[in-house]
Parts: sequence; C-alpha cells; structure tokens
Amino acid sequence: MKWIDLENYTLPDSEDSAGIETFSVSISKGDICWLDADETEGGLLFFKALATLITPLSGTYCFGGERLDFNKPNTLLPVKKTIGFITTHSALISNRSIRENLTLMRSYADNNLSARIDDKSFEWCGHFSIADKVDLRPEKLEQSDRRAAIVIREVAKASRLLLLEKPEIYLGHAGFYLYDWLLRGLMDEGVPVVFTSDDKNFIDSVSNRALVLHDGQLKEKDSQESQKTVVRGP
Amino acid sequence: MTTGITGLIGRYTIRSFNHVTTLLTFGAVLLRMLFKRPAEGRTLVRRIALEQIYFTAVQALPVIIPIALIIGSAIIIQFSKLSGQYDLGNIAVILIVRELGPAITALLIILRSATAVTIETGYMKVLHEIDALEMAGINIEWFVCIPRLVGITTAILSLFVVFDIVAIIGGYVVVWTITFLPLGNFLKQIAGAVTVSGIAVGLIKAVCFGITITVTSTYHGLKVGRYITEIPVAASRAAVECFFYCLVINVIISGLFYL
Repeated sequence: MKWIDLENYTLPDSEDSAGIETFSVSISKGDICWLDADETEGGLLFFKALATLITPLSGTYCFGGERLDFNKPNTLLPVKKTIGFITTHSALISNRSIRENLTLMRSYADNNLSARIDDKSFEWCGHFSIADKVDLRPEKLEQSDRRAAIVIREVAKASRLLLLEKPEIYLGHAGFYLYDWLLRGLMDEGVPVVFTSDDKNFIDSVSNRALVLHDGQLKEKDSQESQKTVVRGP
Repeated sequence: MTTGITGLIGRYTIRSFNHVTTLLTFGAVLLRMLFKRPAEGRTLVRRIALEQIYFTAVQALPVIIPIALIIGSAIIIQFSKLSGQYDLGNIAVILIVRELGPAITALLIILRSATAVTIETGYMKVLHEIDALEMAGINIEWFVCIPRLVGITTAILSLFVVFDIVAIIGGYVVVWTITFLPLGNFLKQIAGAVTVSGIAVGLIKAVCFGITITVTSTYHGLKVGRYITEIPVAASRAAVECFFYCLVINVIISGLFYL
C-alpha cells in the first residue's frame, strides 16, 4: 500500500538551494529509503517537503490515503505530528526546559501543564545520559545532549514516517551506536524511513530503496546503479 | 514599467497598500481565532499570556510611573499659569486621559515589548523553533501570536489606567508639594472633567493600540527568513510601523469622537 504518495510534485527554490523539478514518488510501510543528494540543502528541501513544511508549486500529496490541502495549513498539523523530523534544522524550544520540550506535544493536546515524560522516553534520556539534565533549558546543554533530546522527542512521535539527516554524525560517533539501535527498533516496527547518509555500512545494512537527488532532479536509483555508487566517506 | 518619479510613487503606493492589507488580514485571522478558540492548548496559551502580561505590564511599572509623574507635573506646571483663562482640570483630562496617556503608554510598549516580540519570534524563525512547533502539531497563530495579543493588549489597558492616575494625581501632589503655583480646586475640576466618553475613548485607543502593536510585531517576526541579520531590520521596521499606525489610529479615534 502506498503510504505516502507525491505526484507531479514541484518544489520551489529555497533561500539556500535550487528547487526540485517535477517528480513523483511513493513510500510504503516498511520502506527504508536512502536519499543520495548531491547537496545537503537539497536533501533538506526534500525532507521538508515530506514533512509538509513546504508548499509545493504544483502536485498532490497523499498521506495515508488522504489528500493534503496546503491552502489550509492548519489541516496539515495532525499529519505533521506523526512525522519524526531529525535533521540539522530540527530544534528545541529555547525558553522551555528539556522536560517541557519532551512533553510539549502532550501538554498542548491534553491541556495539561503537568504532563510527565513517558516511561519509554525517560528510559532513553537515561541511555543518552540526559536524565539528570531534563530540567535545564537547551542552552545549558552540550549540542550532543540537545540533539539527543530532539531524537527522543521525534522518535516518540514518529508513528507514520521518520526523516533522518546523516544519522551517523548527528549525535557524534559516541552516540551513533545508541541512535542506530533506536532506529532499527522503529524500522522493525515497519515505520517508513527516509534518510541521507555517507556511511556505506549503515546504508547497506538498513536501506531497501534508494533515491537520487542530483541537479534538482529526483529519481529512483535502480539496484545495479546503487551497487556502483561510490559512497563518500564519513 | 513606468520609470521616473511617477512610477516610483506608484510602486511604493501599491507595495504599501499590499502590506497594510496583509497586516489587516493577519489581524483578522488572529481576532477570529481569539473568538473561535481551538480546544487544544488552552492551558498553555493562558500560561504564556500571563507571562506576557508580567513581562509587558508588571515589569514596565518602574518605567511608566516616573514618566507619568514627570509628564503630569510638567503639564500641570505649564497650564496652572493659564488657569485664570482655562479650566486646569479639563485641560489635564483632555491632554492626559484622551491623548497623552494612550500615546505614551503605546510608545513605551513599542520600545520595550514590540521590539522584544519581533526579535523573539524572529529568532524562533531563524533557529527553526517555529518549524519545531508546527512539527509538534501546534498551531502557530494560536500558540505564539494569541498569548502576545492578549498579554500586550491587557498590559496597555492596565498601564494606561496607571499612567492616567499617576500623571494626574501624582503630578498634582508633586506640584502642590514643591511649588507655590495656584492650582485652585484642581481635583474638583478633574472630577467634573472626567466623563464616561473620555474614559471610553482612552480605553478604545488602548485596545486598538494593543492589537495593532501585536499584529505588526508578530507579523514582522514571523516574516524573518533564514538569516540572523534579518532580525534587527525586522525589529526596527516593526517599531517604526507600530508607532506610525498608533498615531494614525489615535487621530482617527479622536476625530470620530470629538469632531
């Protein structure tokens, strides 16, 4: 079943990169899709499009069989909150503590200011060594700790799609082992994943599809071409 | 394309008209949301609105009280010399309650809070916090703009009342204590000059200023793009526009009520 279906989609130029020419792509449950982008910003543009953060110039976006209406941005919010978005453009809210950041979505939805971090997320805070820092604001934490908090927040909500930018370097070398473990758990549950990476071992071990984004053109990479691709070193 | 001064004026006029209509639309969206409040996030929005009232009203008190005292004293000193020809109480009420009170309160809020709101929302945009909120399923107008709209409007209303009381009563006490100027029966005149319509006009101005300042400052903050250098430009533009729009609204409301 096509879980996500973008048809005749065209993305506008962003401030940092050229847009993406008209393309069609569909992603099904269980797809672990490696995106081979020639520019980091191009990959981010595609991720933002999948996350419905960018209004396309043309085309349709169907998510879970439902066509999205970009003219009514608030109708996109229920979709957005089921997508995990872990990129260099992901952020924590700087005037809220890590605890508030991790519970913000539930506090908002349930009208509850005293929402607790759920047990699974708190367990992950422990694994990433930030359990004793959850009452601090993000600026008091190291970048790796802030990113760990983002990973925990996004993985907790990524029930329908997970978008990852270079997971091998996102948390640094030390954190990758845990991150990898966390991701594989989600992949085993069948959550579709789209990711960029320069780590050939990671790509080979998890991906079952590949897309190429070169010169503003997005194409499916066939398996033979995929094998021939020279992967840039980390 | 028309060149020369005519074309320049034409293009500037069209751009300005577009900008004002965009601001009005944004304001209408916020006001509609205020009356048709989403069920989600009400507790959080209420808390942020209270924080905004604290930052904008309570923290501004040490600034607005001395300003009100200075302006109130200066007006009473200047006009006490004319009290033989004019009613001093009436003049104080007309100047302070109807005109200076709302205008100076608005100016103070613009300097302290409008710029802060533009910078804060601008930073949220540059640092991708707005995207992060959206990705959490949070409505930006509801979560970011409405608490500031409620907070700033409430703050202007409260500070306007404080300004009027301190400027008139405090100013009178200051002048009575440190000068020998003939003040006549100033307080009695004040009591006679304060009318329901006078207070209503001041309150209407304060509400309109609050809405205008919030809409303009959040709009400019949310319009910031990717670069941090856009933030000071947006803050400066927002402050100037807020002040200009408040002056225009001040004249329109005064004209509607007193002409």
